[in-house]
Amino acid sequence: MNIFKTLVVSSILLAVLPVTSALGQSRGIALEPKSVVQTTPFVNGVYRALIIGNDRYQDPHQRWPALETAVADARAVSDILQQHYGFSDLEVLENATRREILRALERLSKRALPNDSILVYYAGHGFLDSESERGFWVPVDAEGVDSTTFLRNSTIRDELTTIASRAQHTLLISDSCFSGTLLRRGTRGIATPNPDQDYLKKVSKKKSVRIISAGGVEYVDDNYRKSGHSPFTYFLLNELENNDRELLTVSELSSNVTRAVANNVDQVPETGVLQGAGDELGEFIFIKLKISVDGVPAEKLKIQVETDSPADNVVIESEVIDSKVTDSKATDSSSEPADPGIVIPLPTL
Amino acid sequence: MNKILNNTNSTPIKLCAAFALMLVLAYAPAGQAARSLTVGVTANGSSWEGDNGSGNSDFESDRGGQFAASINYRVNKFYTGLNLQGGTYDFGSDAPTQFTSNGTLTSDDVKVEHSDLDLLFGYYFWSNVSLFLDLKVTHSEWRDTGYEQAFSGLGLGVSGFHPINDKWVLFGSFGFVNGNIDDDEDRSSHGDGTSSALVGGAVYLIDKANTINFGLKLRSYDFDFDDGNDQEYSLNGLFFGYNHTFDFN
Repeated sequence: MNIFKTLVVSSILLAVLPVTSALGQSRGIALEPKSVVQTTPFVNGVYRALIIGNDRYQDPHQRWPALETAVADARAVSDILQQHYGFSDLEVLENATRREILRALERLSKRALPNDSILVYYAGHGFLDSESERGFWVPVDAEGVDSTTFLRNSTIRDELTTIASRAQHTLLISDSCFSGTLLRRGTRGIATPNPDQDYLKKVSKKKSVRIISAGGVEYVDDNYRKSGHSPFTYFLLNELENNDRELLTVSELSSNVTRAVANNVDQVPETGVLQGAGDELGEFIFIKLKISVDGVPAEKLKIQVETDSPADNVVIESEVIDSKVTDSKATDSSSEPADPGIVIPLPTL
Repeated sequence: MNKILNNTNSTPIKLCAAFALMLVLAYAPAGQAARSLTVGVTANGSSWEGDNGSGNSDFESDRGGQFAASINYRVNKFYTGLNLQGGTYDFGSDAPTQFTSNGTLTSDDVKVEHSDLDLLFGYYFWSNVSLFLDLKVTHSEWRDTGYEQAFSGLGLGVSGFHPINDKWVLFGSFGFVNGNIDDDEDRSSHGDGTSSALVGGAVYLIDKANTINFGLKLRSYDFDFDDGNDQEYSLNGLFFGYNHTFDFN
């Protein structure tokens, strides 16, 4: 894979970001990186992601115990997408309520543009209603087995369908128990081994709406060998981090992760297409960035990648556009406590 | 407090103008910065007690207290705020002495109105700790004679907070003011003085926008008059307040 022969960092954007909230460290919101439009033969849009990790469940019925790794999983996924794969528009929700998740999905769908590649990642409890065979995500404000406080799979699929109607590629990665129920109406995906450039260009132009679930209709583990990550996310991170290819399709990623997980734990991830969301057998393609400048966060780099391939004459350009990274604690839940720095009384003498 | 508000030539009006200017300046470069506006009310049940200096008696109010209203605008690490508070203190057999330009007048069985205006400019140099400047004006008026006494100066303080959990936050502040004492007749300098304040309390977060707070506030004043007299007093008491925050993010 020698498409790219030179990779030139053309400039570093040290745009003056608004000063972050002084007290935001404990209550979120601090980063406002810029979105970068990636222009390649494969992608001509922004890589956006909504990352959700739920650890601290508040269930008054004690049905949902706290998890050990979901928030750490979310943070690690966010970091690797941002630092190695050029995701410039990330919203991270930690310990999100049902309302926060829905609102974040709505915000994401509003930001989505026609050429974008959009990833949604969820780590947290899942629930399966064995009678109706309906699956759910369990937000931190879930109450017992009251499924009205959960996030139903059909709702998630609806939101994904809305996002997919706007974006070029949509990928949902769900690391929760019973997340395979998201795929009951879908079909299995098959990875194409060692895809060539023609194949990649072809599938990148076609719309894709894919789902990778940590397991089928089964329980999945939380802390894999005390790694601080679930087995699924552990191998997902491992695959993304150790991937030495510049272009990685979702089919390859899911195939490799599935093999690794299935070989090591009693759990088999599944991959499929979200039925009815407009999938055209396209491929979400991860582009691994190989640039770094000491002391400069990847999201602040403006990159230009050149190649002398006569067939492609690729120029990857970057253009700063408006975007914002938020955190669930900084957004709009009126039930969430405020940053204490803004509510302590005025300190008069 | 009415005196402070009604005197169009007074320092407080200038301070209000400065506050308005600070609001504009704070808003202008903010861009996508984190901004919030907090308004609050506080009831302060305090006693006024002190020492009228050598040869004079101690005094302590029988009852008294103050009500306060505040507004606090914050942009990222910077905040500016205005606090107005006032109330009446009843004295029985002994009351603060009136140090007039014509001599010293002891008083008893009198009501004294006491009001404060604070204009603050603060900055969070650390995540939970800020330093602030307080342009402070206090005004006292004896109802029996109409004697007025004003103290104004610039203070420096430190404020901090410590979240206990999602609902409770401890907070505190401490600082000094150095200023001048005027009487309201000719606005001429009538002495100088210092004051200090120590506050500790807790905030309960009802939700993201609404909080209540309570605690203990200790204030002390030490005045040296030009004619050689001095006076020390303190206003100590418990407070209970409510704040509402408009978060513009």
